[in-house]
Amino acid sequence: MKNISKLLIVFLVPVVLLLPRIDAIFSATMPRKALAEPFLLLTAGWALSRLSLSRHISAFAPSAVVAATLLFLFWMIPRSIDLTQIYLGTNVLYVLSFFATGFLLSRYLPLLPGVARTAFALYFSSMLVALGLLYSSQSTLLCSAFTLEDQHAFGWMLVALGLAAYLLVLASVTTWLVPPAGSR
Amino acid sequence: MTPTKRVIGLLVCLLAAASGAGLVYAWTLGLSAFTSYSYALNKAGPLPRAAPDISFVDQFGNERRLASLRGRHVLVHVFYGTCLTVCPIVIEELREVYSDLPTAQRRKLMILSISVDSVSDTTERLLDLWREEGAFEGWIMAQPADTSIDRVTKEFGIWVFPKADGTINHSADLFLIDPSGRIVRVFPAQANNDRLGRELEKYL
Repeated sequence: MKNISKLLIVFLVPVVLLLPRIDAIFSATMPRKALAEPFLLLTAGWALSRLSLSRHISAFAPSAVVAATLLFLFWMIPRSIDLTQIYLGTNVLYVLSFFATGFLLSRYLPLLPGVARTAFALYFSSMLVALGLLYSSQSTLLCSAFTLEDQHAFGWMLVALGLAAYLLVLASVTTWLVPPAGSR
Repeated sequence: MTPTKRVIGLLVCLLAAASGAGLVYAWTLGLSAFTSYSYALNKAGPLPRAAPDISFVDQFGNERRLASLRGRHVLVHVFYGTCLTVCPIVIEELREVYSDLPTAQRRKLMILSISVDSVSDTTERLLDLWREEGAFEGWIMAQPADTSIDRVTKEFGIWVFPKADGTINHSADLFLIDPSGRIVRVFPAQANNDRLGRELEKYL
């Protein structure tokens, strides 16, 4: 019963984000639409994977991680973000995609071998930095739904997030590789 | 994990990667159009291509067709009068380039500025703007006459996005039409004035 109510709350996140009033708040600026909203949905997807009881198949772990990465990349394309502001259907797909991405990454990434997980995390954080640099350095508007100031702010936030993630991964790899004091 | 499951997993992974890459490839017209602006432009077709024969109402209230301007080069772009960002820069750039052209070359070129704001940019406002920008005989400031701006934007390859706050984000490219009615060149927005002038002189 407790789990069911938690599940309901998790499923409520994408539904609430699609409500016109809430969507208007998130659609007001690019950092909100393309950073805060995906973050909320990824977190909701992660929460769903912790709550769901269905069995996972480890053979499909690489496919799930690849699919999640491609979904994330697709929604970082300026034209894709633009269309979420015009068509409700595209916005629904946007919300569901990030929700699914959070679920897939949380459920299947831990099933990959440590080296693959590290490589993926380094690649993903580098991708965030690269995308951030692209958005922050362009002097022309890439997403017609937002302003140039928004675009630059979004870009720098992505760079900061990517660098933080990169450093975190490096720190955890270092901890993992360096043997504890006293051991040979 | 059994070898069969491993092979199936690998195949599904390859399939997911291939379909994802294919989707992104198709979505961006072969990795050539990542923004709505470049998508609209590339979707309209490669250059040179025939310019659409659009109808428009000029700053004097006369309904005209683009085909009636054949015989001269025409530089077409869209704008809106209440814009505070790119449009004033483009209009100023055009005024400078046009006024710097030698008289003989200026006679060979017309500028057609089409408004994307059908509400605010009335004929009177367009006439005022035309006067402010030097009242050049070869500069037309117009509203689309038939149906809507949609045909103009679609066939030229211009992206227009009216925002909730009343501003309109749109492509600021300049389309050069030759005397036979073909779009032969697209100049990107906010190009350097001198460069635009030099490039235009090559065609005139």
